[in-house]
Amino acid sequence: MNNILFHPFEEYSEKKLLSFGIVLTLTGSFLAYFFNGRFDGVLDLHFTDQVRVLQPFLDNLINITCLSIFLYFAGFYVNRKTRFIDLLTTAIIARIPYYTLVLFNINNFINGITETLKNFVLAEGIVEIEPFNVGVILIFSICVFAFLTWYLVLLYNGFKVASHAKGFLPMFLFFLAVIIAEAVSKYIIYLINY
Amino acid sequence: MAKLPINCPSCEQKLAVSQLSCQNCETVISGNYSLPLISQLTQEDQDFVLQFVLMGGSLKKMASKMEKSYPTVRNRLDDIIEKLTTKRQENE
Repeated sequence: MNNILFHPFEEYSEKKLLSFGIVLTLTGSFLAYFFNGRFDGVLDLHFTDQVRVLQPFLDNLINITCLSIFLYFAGFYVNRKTRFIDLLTTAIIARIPYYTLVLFNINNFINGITETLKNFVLAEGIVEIEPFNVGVILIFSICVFAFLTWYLVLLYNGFKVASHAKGFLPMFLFFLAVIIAEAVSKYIIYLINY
Repeated sequence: MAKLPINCPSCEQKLAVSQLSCQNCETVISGNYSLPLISQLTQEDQDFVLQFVLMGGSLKKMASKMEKSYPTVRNRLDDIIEKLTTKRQENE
């Protein structure tokens, strides 16, 4: 079970991972459309009032492409035998846990609570804040942190297997690649602004 | 037949071959010979190398047979190559 959750890249062929990953990426994108979620960056998830049908699909395409390319550069620097397909499957599979977070916005639930708390912060007088809303945001934050950690662990494990990474330098290059991918993906999504 | 040990069970240093015998005519040869490079690998690594040769050097077939991913099998082979390179340098 541990292998499936954290080390699928050691066990399964790239064909199986790619097929499984593409199906779940399309499912995740559809859920994001349905629950008004935008993945507007490699590490980002935001909820809005309305999402157009193509937006989450294009978001994920840009995010996966940016992650794959920059992780491939980092992997190739570490080991010339690194294959692009392995980093592509890594990027696709690693993001799957993140897609489940959109379920928190069923019936615009989290977005509604976030708006209420925003009004509280912006209010000039004393405004009563419901403990329930604070509790929900706290639970949501814990879940986001947990799933983001799972995402990054999967990403690093995939990178390690693909590039046979050992030591400090590959770890540093990995984090650099993720940060650059985040910046580039956000910029591209902002530029396109579909 | 028993498995060939590689390291001394007392001091864990590398073992050498000091006697070989012919099973046909009972001739015994004594000397001081180092173990072949491949024999100095662990049993798992030796089995891996044997399988690799029997699979015609195809990592894809190895991955399919071992039910592991291609990069995992490639990384295992790279580790064995590194071990053999180190052992060869030590022997020279």
